[in-house]
Amino acid sequence: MKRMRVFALTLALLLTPCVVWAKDTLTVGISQFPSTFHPALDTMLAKSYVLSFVRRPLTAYDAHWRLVCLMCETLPTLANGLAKIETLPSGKKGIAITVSIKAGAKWADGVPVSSADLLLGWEVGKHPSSGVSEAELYRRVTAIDVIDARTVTLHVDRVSFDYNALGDFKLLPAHIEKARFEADPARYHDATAYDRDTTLPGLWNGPYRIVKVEPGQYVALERNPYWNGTRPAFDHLVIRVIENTASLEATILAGGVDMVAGELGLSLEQALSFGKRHSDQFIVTTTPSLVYEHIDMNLDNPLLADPRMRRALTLAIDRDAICRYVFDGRQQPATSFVPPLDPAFSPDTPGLSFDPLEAARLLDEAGYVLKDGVRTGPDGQTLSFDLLTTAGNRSRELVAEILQAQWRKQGIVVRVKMEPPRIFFGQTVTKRKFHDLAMFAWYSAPESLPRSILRSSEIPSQDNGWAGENYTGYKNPAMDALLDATEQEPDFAKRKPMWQKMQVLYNQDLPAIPLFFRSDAHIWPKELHGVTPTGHADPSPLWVEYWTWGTP
Amino acid sequence: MAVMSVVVFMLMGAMPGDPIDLMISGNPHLTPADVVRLKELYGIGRPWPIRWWDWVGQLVQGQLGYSRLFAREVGWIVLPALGHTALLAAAAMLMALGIGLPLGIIAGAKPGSLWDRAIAALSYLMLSLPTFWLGLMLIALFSVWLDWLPASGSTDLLSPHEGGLADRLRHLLLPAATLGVGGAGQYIRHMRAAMIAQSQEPYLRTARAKGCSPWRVIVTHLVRNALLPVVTIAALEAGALMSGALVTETVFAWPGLGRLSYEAIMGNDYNLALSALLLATLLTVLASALADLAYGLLDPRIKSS
Repeated sequence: MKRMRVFALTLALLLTPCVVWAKDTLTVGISQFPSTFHPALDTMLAKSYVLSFVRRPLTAYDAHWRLVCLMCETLPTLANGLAKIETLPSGKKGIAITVSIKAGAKWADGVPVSSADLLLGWEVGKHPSSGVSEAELYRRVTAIDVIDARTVTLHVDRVSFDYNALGDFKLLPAHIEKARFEADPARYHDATAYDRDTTLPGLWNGPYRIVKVEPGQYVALERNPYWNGTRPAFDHLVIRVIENTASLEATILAGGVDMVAGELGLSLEQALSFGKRHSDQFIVTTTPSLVYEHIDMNLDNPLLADPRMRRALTLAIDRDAICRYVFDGRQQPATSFVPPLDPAFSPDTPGLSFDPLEAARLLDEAGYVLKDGVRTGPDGQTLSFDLLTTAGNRSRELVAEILQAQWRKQGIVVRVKMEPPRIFFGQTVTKRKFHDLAMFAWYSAPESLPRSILRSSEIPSQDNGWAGENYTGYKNPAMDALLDATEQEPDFAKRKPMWQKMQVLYNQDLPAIPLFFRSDAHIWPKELHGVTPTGHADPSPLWVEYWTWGTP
Repeated sequence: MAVMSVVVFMLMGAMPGDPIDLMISGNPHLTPADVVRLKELYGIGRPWPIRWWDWVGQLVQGQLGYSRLFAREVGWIVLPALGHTALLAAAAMLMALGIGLPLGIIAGAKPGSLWDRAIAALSYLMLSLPTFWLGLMLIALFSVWLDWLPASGSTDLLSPHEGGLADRLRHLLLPAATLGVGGAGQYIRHMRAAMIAQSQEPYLRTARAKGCSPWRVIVTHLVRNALLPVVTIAALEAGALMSGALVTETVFAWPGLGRLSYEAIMGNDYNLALSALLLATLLTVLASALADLAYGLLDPRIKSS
């Protein structure tokens, strides 16, 4: 009897790790539900995150911010001959890119991913009525030559440095979507199977496919039987949407979700505090990202049109202290608009270090003298600004308070005003209705050219339908020329000095005050291995097949 | 309802920013031509009366329209949400009445007693607890610490029991308690006040003079009459529960109508917001009608008139 007990105990002990390994469902918590499941309609982070489990783009930037092939065989480059500069009938230079879809790639109903899917993606993308938001990307492709069932050559009407970043060029399953699109392109955005019949297996070509959707609640996935890459560890995956981050935190503790996505989860300070309390169960990883927190200055304001004023405002703030005290040193202070992890980053750019003496000198020079702790101008007017930002973002509110105090030390009066995000982004910023300062963030991809942010032609106005993102109203012909030249230079070695010039010019002109680059805070249980946060727009689940479950 | 639809359309039209404006702020690659094209495609920028008229046209044909936020027919989104909110509101109401009425009766039966004072303190506590805080505290206690009940959602996803009665009840308990506690506090106060007011009425003296036991006087005569004003409050409360469930639904990720209406308004999803708000109005009207029926049951004079 005693032997039996010992045997049973030993067996139980031996089986314990097996139970850990046998977890077949992973539940991921995120804070937003996608507005559509169509890969090309609308652009939102929640959609990119969910779709990265079930679709593979042709190319993506990996965790080391290198461009890699996911659905293609070989990354086309000028060096390997798969990309070739060509002369267009107009005499301008264009580029021909030959790309082959990965051998054996199939949609989850067993139909091979083919050139026809790429062609349909192009047809839909360039059609004026299809509702695709980034149509310009597809319209740049003037023709597609089908070489064989898996290979095509794209003819692009211009040479750009990121010619081979094909991640935004979406493949659509022609055997499902072609008929729906051709029936009525103008109604396609309502008729697409991605939203009408989301659980159709043939819509998905990633390691998983969508099997159930409860709008606003969750998306359930299961393994794609036709996935020909590494077999993912979990049979099922559930992406649960819990918008309130306090509830999300409680739910992970209660076991309702296994992990919280850094891309769309808790704020950094929430995650850090969580990590301190629950480090025995969970891993909290912070990854520097491409989210650039900054303050746009409206250059139409005569005060801010003076470069001395902009520099003084910038030098009067201590970004290092903000990052140290508010974010436990986990955010990277910004020295320009390019993050240090980006290959385009130039460490030689003259910094914008905290220099209160220089700030004071510049303010004096601009005619604003310190009197009773407040700067007043020649006309006796107090030097004051309104700082607008989004309401409901605790970190941003904290940063705004610190900035206000730091400027106050220079005698500058700053009033902080919070607006709901939909008003702030829907009108105040996009229609340039902020008079002085607006604090928010940019999200970009590695080596993403800030053309729409810095080019003088991109200033939003009534005339251009408020398109463009040059909200500061920044105009500098030298910057315009640099942006144009950089965009058309395919050789990175030649582009790099251009990027450096751009960063120097940006720091000289200072249309915006750089603050810091945000970090994503990912939380996962100690048993989960292989998650590699990227910190950019291509989210970590693009490599979900390498996630495993095992002993901590 | 027609007036309500016009008001909602007008107010939403007056809100700054539209979905394409928001899209521009998140996507640097959108060109001016894209902006014009997308606004035309989604019918944004047309005056609200025209959009309202189109919506009425759809409604007449039995269609609630298409939700831009969820890329689905509105009916597919709004009806399940309505079911969830109705369930939550009903459970919260039952809980509030179940706690509030007996405690109000006990307090009102002997005003000034120790029981009365203790119940009064409890009712004030219930009324003053912020819903958001209470919800999180209940989650911390029953989900995180004791591990008895789920912290959020309406079912156990992908479990063999998903959607079963026991599963639903387990998920319902904490949100219903959170939503019901404030109501219970109110019912205690109202029931107590009604009991005290009714206890001065001459019919009670008559009942006592006729030799009715104190228990029978309270249950048969006093409580029945004291319930009449409470029913009015409950009918009003039912409407408030439908619209006020937003905070509870947000804390518990409960897929209800309150949260859906909020998202639809903030996301400028006219069709969805209108349907959700009009359904909430309809439910409030229905609750009032039910209250009228309850009056008839409690007071035969109303029924006969």
